[in-house]
Amino acid sequence: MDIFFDFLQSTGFANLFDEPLSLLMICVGLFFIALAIIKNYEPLLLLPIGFGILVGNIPFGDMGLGVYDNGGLGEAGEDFIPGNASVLSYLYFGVRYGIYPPLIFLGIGAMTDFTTLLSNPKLMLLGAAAQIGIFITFLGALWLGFGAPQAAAIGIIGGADGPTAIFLSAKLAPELLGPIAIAAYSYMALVPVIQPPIMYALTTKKERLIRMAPPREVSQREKILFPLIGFLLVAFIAPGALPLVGMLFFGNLLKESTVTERLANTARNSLIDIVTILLGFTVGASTQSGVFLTTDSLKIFGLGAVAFGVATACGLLFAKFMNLFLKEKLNPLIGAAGVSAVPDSARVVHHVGQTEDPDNYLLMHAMAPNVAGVIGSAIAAGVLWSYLS
Amino acid sequence: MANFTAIPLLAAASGPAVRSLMIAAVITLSIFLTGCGVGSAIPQGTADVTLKLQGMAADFDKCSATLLKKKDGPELSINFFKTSNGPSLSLNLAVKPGVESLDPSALRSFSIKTQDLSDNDQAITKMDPRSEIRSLSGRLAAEKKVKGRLVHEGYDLAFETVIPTRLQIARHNIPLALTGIVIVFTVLSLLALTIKILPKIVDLTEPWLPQGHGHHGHGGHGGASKGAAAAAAAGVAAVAGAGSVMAGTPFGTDAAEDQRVAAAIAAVMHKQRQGQ
Repeated sequence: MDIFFDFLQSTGFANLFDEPLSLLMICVGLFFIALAIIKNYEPLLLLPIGFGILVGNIPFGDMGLGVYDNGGLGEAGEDFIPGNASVLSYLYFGVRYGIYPPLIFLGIGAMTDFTTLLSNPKLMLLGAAAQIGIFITFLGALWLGFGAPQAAAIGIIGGADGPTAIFLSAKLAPELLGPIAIAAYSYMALVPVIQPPIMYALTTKKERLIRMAPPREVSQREKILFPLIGFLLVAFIAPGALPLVGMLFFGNLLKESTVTERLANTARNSLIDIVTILLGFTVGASTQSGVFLTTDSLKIFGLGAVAFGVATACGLLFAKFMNLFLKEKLNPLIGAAGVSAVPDSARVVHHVGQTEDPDNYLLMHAMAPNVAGVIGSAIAAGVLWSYLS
Repeated sequence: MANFTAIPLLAAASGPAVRSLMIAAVITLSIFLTGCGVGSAIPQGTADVTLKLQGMAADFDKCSATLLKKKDGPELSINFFKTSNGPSLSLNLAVKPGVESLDPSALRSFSIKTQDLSDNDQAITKMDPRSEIRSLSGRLAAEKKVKGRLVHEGYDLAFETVIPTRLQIARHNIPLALTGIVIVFTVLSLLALTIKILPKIVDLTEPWLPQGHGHHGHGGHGGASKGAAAAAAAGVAAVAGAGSVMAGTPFGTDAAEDQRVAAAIAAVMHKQRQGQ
């Protein structure tokens, strides 16, 4: 009988009395899974994250099964005891030490087509303008009482780039990694909800109707030279961006060189899928109620919304500013794609443009600031990392 | 702000000489702002100490403090320095939750971090606050002033400093934020300029490259074709429709729909070109 009672004491139901907030997080996890399956919101991310939240919030008591039960793995001054580390903590190692994000950037590079950017390079500036949101949010987070490294990690949510947010958080504020990652991916999933009202508020109907000139032809040699020259330029000016930008351009060279098709295929299919599963699942599992449900998390979500809104607005306004100088006007809607949620924000721009004029095809134009935003947010992360590490 | 953002934009629009000058100006401005980053907006206190710890000897005459909220209670970091590039010393005082008035018994833990930025050498020493800190006083809630004296083997460290407000800290970091924005604009502007001259670089490398590598025409010279436009559109659609980590939206644009969009874009572009 004692054995039976001991077993009952070790069940999740018994432990739930010690960790009642786990139930709330389990509901959040189920909500994410529902969003992914029913609404098709970022299913490739929200499904692994949602299930990870369920796994991370099962009240397992002191069995040492969570991502934080690492047996001293990687802790300064701690002796690593392999038997004390959980399987999840080994998988989480790639998040905690910033290994997964560069691998994801490799895959993104291998699937990114820079053609529209190469044909109209001035659109690169829209990708830069949208990064202003990162730095404004950085100041806002400082004002709310976060330390400078934490504020930088929160600010990067404005880049709308999940892997970059995880990378910088792991480097500067690992204690906030869970909330920052969840906030970043939540807002990325909500791009179609957040961006259109800002687009309508900051543009006139006449501006939304602007048709842009078709892009010029880009030769294969330009596509091959761009990742090489681009990488060298970025890496020498902002070496902090090396891990992310290096992998992005490397992946793109694999694709464009046309001689490593097998490697490019692996990077953009199998590799990125494997890493996405591990990253999403372990990030979800890191949101244990005791760590995640804090007032700081609420502040991070609030600041993330501000960051995303400011980034979108800055891109739009900068496109309007550029139009003051340009003979061939830009459709300012494409400025909103300067946030690096590839390709969601470009799609949103395309759809908003088409609601005004069904024959106006903005998708390819919007992809240029969109991929520039990926480079821009990686550079911003590198700059913040080099200053604050 | 507008001044900073206008510079790379104008650089992209002007002639080569003006561009170079403007890029130089932007980089100079970045360096200047970086220098301003270590500013005087944060209140600094006084320190009087000759330190001999872990083989490092240094004099400090200034100190600043930062109060961080942590889950287990506030953490007070007091940093001692003389020059920004020289050796530095940080006292990390972890305070018990709810404590407003500081004294050695109010601390949970205490550690010293020494760092020599000239050779990147750093060491962290954990200590017992009750035996190592001779005196400590201050209020974290109201005045936020801290005064203390730490006596340890061979050194005697007396300090007095003020913990800055959150607004002061935010203002202090404005140059860092501006510098970050300028650097992002500078790098992306340079990338844009590089892309602009990429066709010329391709022309220069033409004699040394093997033949039959992709198609030529460098559309900057006006040689665009329907095939290229369709390829560009299809490329964009491939990215937009790929099962990327960021793909999949409530707009439901699956790969098939993207293919239709690509085909439509290609058709429109072809018509536009025919009309030119």
